[in-house]
Amino acid sequence: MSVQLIGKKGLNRLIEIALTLLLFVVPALLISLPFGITWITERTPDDPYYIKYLIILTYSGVMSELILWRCHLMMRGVNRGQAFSLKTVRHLRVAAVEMMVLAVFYLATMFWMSKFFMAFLFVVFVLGGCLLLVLAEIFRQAIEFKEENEMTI
Amino acid sequence: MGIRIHLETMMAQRGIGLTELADKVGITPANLSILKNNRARAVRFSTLDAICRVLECQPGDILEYTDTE
Repeated sequence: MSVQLIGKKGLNRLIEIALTLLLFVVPALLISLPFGITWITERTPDDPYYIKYLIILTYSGVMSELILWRCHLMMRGVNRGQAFSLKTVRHLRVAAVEMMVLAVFYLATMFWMSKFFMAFLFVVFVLGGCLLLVLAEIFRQAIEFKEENEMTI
Repeated sequence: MGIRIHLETMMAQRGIGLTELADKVGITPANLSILKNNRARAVRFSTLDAICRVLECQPGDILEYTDTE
């Protein structure tokens, strides 16, 4: 079974729609966090861990929303046939910085939360940020080659 | 770049216009214009071959190297 990868009806379009939906889902989850934390962890607001969870999850949600927005913009560019553009490079770099910022936050939370879990998240997001920076550089060079090829008559 | 293309001169000598030359060479008028105005980064041998065939000239008749430094 073949899947059409380019075009309005393609898989890329589905990904763009999914990202758009997530952009609305994440803020809704953020708003429901105070109730969600109580429901899932059974901790009340007077519990010290409640505040810690609230801070970590709120900040994670906000940064995730920013990273999702970047992914949405990149996917929109891909669907418009503008994958290899300086805008994509910029989006990748900004997303990388956002992941690094989140990683630093998780590093800071190691002092008052689970060290192992936060260290794990720190490593994951640092690696993710590095991967995006490498991708940005690959895209930048690809744009150079593309422009060179376009100006080859 | 030190390589310059003197396509206009040869085109005028042969009495051929941009669109007609582009059509005979097999490239778009836009690309031929890029070539004519020395904005191209590179030329394929196949393109150069077609231009020389249509204009009945040698590559040296349309290509010139000048030291820009």
